[in-house]
Amino acid sequence: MVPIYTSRGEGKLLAVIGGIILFALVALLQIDAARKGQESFLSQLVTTVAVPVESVFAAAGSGLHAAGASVVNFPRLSVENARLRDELHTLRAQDSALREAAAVAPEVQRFALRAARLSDAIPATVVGYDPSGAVNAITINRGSRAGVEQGAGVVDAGGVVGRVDAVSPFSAKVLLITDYTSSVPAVVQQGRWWGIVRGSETRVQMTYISQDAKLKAGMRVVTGQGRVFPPGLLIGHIISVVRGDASLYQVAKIQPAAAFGRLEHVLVLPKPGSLTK
Amino acid sequence: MNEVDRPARWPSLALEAAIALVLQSTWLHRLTFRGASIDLLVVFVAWYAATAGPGRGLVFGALCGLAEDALAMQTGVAHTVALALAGAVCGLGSRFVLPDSVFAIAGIVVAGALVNGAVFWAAMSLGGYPAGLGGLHFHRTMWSGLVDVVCFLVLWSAWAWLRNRQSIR
Repeated sequence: MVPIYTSRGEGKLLAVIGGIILFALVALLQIDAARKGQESFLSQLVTTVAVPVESVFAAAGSGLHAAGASVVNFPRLSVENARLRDELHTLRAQDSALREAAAVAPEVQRFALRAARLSDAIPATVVGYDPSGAVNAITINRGSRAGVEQGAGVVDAGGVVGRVDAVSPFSAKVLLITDYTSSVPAVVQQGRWWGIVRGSETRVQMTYISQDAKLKAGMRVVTGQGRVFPPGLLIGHIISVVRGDASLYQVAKIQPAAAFGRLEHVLVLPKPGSLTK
Repeated sequence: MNEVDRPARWPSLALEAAIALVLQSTWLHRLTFRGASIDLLVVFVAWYAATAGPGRGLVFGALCGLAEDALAMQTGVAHTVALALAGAVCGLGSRFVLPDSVFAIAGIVVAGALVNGAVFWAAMSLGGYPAGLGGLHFHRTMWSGLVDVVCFLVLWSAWAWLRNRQSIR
């Protein structure tokens, strides 16, 4: 039986067809932007609208967390405060001595100069995470207006966090080093053995390490020469080593130095290219 | 139609979806169980589709997925496709199982979470996501079904309690 369309039925049909065409157009734009590794117009719009709301929620969450933690931890805070004050005095003295040493050695002076230029880093606050948790990524509240560039490295007080993958005017999305798609050239500090650090969900692992390397738990792993991070930034510490007899390489499991469980404040580094200028 | 199977209105749905999206991207990532975190959008889409049917479930799922894709990274339209299909499947499921009890809808929520996970990772794989992680994603999807149904039961209990209070007044 052939359906008979009234003017009302035709209007509904046209609305459905129009909706499908509009939806297909948006989907194509999304796919195209994802392939190019850029933010689509829709993503920029949604992120720009969502970031202020996320900032409020994130601030409220961290405020509640901090209040709860300070109540629970109050008895040992004064003891810890005294210990940290002592440590600060010691570190200040060490810092002064190291600056003096850096000033007299030309090679070290160059390194110190590079480290000093890390002060060009842009401080940012973490306002959101990937909504589905499928990709290990965070959203920060600084974007292209603040000078954040795509591909820039991101660190926190502990160590390497990730790299900027997409930038909007007022926010940026950072792919964490714990994500499966992340890879960072790295080096074991004691021994200078090279490898690639890849994400493995909650931790990271260093692959392609030569079988000759004598690795031990506790060794520090730092960034190597790459396009995203300046060399020497702490990634984490080795916790175990997998050494297959038939394999050409070793794999080291690493506990990241960055506090991925409670990321709040991070620094977006200038690209290494701009550091060597 | 009783209170359980009456579909929600679009403005309240939009508000629920927006709140779910913001909560997922700010707080809920802290609540993970064996790598699976609560997916409020899946819960809402499945719940709505169970009461409104496959067509509306598909549209609501697609819109929620599109918003999630816009806020997520590197996902293209994987969430859109996954949530739209999950909505359609949940809507179809409600034609075979009468969604007049909380446990029937809970079963539909589990089905929605599983369909969402399977389609999402298949779409991500087609989009070039690294292969060889199928076992991990399978386990995560299974656990997310469990986590989502627990979340649904908690939300439903709160909703039913509020309804009862209102009816007493």
